[in-house]
Amino acid sequence: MALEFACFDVVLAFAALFGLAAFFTLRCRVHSALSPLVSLCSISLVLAAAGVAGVLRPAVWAVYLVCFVLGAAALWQKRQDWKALCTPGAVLFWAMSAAFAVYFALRQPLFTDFDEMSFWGTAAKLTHETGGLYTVAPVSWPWQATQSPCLITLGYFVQALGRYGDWKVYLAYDMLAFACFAALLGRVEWKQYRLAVPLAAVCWCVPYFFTTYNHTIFLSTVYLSAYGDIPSGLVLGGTVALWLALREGEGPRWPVLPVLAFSALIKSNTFVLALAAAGLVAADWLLTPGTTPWKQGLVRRIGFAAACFAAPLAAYRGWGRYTLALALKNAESGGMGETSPDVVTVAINGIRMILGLPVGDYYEARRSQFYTACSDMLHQYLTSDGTLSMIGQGVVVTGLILALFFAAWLVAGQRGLRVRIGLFALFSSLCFLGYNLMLALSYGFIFKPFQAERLEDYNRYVYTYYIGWFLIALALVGLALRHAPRLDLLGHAGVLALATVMLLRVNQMVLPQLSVLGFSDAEFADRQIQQSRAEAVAAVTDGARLFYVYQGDNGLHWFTATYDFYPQIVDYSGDGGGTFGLESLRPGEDTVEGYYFHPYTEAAFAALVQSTGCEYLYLDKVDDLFRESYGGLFSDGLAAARQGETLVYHVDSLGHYSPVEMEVP
Amino acid sequence: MSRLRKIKAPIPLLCYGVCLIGFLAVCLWHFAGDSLARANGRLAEAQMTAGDFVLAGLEQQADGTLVTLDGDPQMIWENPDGRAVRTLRVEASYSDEPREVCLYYTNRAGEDFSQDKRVFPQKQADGSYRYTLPYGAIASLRLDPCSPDMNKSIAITLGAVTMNEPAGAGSYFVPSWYQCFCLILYPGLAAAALSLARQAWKKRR
Repeated sequence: MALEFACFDVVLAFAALFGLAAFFTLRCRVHSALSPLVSLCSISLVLAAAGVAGVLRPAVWAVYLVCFVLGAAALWQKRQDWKALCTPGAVLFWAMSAAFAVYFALRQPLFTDFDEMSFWGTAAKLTHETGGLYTVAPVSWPWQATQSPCLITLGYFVQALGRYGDWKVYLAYDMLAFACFAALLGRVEWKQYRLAVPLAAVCWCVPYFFTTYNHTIFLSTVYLSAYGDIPSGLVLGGTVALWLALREGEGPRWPVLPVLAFSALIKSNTFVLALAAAGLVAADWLLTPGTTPWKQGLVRRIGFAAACFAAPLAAYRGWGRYTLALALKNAESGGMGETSPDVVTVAINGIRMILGLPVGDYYEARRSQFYTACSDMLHQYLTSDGTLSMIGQGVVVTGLILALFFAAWLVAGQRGLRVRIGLFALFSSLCFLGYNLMLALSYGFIFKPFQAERLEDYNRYVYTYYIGWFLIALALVGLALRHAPRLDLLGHAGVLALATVMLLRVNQMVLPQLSVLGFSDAEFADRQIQQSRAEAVAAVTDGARLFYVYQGDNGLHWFTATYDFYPQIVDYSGDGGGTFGLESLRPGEDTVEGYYFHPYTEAAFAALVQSTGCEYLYLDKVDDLFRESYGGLFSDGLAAARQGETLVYHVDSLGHYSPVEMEVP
Repeated sequence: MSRLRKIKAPIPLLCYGVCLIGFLAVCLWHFAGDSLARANGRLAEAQMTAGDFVLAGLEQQADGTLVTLDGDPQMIWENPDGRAVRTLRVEASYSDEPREVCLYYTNRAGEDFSQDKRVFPQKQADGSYRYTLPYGAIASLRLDPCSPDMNKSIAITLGAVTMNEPAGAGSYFVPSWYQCFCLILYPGLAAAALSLARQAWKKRR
């Protein structure tokens, strides 16, 4: 397929986004460095709402149309103001987004990580292929997908009018990151390039700096990932930076509201981060009115502060009600109807437990799990066992961030600004404590015991906050340096030194050939093999439902096959990946085969296949255990599969399996 | 010197200009150096065979094919005469997907191969792999011709292995993606540093 046809949808998405951003800047007086973030979040929210309403496909056409019309009208009517579109932040966003679009279009990176297959990537593909939200897409998952939608709809926006591609999802995430960086540059002007360039360099390093703690020997997936953890942190920082820049100028304040609502729906745990951001914005607006007397306009300030909380709350509650209804419906139709305990309920009961008040049986039974998680988290935070960043464990990172707040306070030339910086430092520290409490509550009362025991994925949950917290401090440094700083030269030199040290450290830890800027084509060799096998199987199975076998799978291959074949359905196939065999041949418990072992007798296996209604079996990987257990069900005793002549067996009406002739890649 | 002082270009423009000129100068230097080395035979094109390598995790069969014995097959070449090595192009056909292929190098005799000194190939239109090594002395090479999946063996039919294949002059002047990034970022940072230094100087005066 010619590159230009593969990319026309991305070009259209850029044009639509530019139209909306131009409209916000020229007609609504939103600074051009801030309008990309506001536009991306607004579009994503609208598409999420349309998805909930079941009108995603028409809505995306409408969004494009509205963006084009608003943009064209604004650009024509305000053509004398075009200069306002060209600011350092805006140029940073558009130049980096365009460069990454071209780069990714040429390099075509693919999803490889587990959760990209088990949710993020697959949800993006389901949404694109069906034109409806992934929550209602026909797929063989027996559980209800209820994860938050905004990153998925963002990925959909970038490629809604064209062919699906993994790289376009990466591009959408990176555009969001660049929009946050642009917001952090905020109202920096061209003549302040000596501040803008180091700030941009620091921003570029941030996702590496707080997520990488070893010299990389494998590909670093920073800027090449569909996970939501880094974007969540960037949006937390970006939201506060956006607010600081909005408040700095004469323009409207409302653009922070869609960004707050968006941040509540990035991941399930980002609601807390959205509330933290809302709290910081509201406190700043309420407590430090600037030069006006405190009582003047108090009601309006209170109203806006309330709106800051209402925006994420409404988005979160709305999504919660939608997914609850879906889960109940799913349960009625035979699927799993369970959802995790509600975060708010967990928080109330967890705090009651800390205060020594009585709690229900569910929480009482998990008391030791909760306190053990608290103790383990503290250990990780304080000791080198918990090293998670390029400078060490959490306590060191906290020290760096607080030092940055102190630096901002030191260089700020106005008393009012110093008070604001102090309040941001204080409240963001309190939010950090609150976020940790939420993590502890999650490990205590939501996670399974074995997950809590090893603090599963603790690093990526906690570095989200560090990223956001650091960006908040950095944005304040930038703000302080732009307003008659007391230590002008020293402050600028400090930012430059910070950029230099961070770049040096990133270059030490992440080799160019193992980063987004120089990855090898071979990184995706395995995925390309899987895709070519899927294409070959799809060619001989005519869209029929497939029963999937991959002996030794831990679920990843099943998720990957589900993803690769879609819209062709790969059946849940017993337990969504694992090893089939007779009970008498059960592998050792300490092996992957043993851990994900599904014992079926020959008759039970045949009945299972029959019950799924699958017309074909896709034998991605069979072993001696499978052959010995079920070889009798296959007309050739699995000889063709063993000799590599086929991957597919046809299931006839009598339940016999016969090999299908095909080209095996 | 007095003429230089009269240049009124803004600092960023100056920095980007200097960096671009510096980049082109380095490219030209490499091109000239390679042309000279090629002329005096230090960068001669050479054809290699499996016999030139020490095989590890690989076994050569009677028909010449190489069969992998484990998951990490290696072909090691020690530079016998300190010749310059710039590129290696490998033609090979495989009985199964080769998965990751890469080339390690060392700059000193006795140095261990490490992840930090590894290059990945560019797949050519004819299916061959072309490795480009960084400038500097090369003491040894370790070609990892494939990365077989667990419990799988791959038969490799090695075609032409060409060292120091002549490259067009243009190839010396095309920056990599990473170099492009550096060419955008670092002049900007240099400009920021110079601007600060200038202001500090003005204040002092």
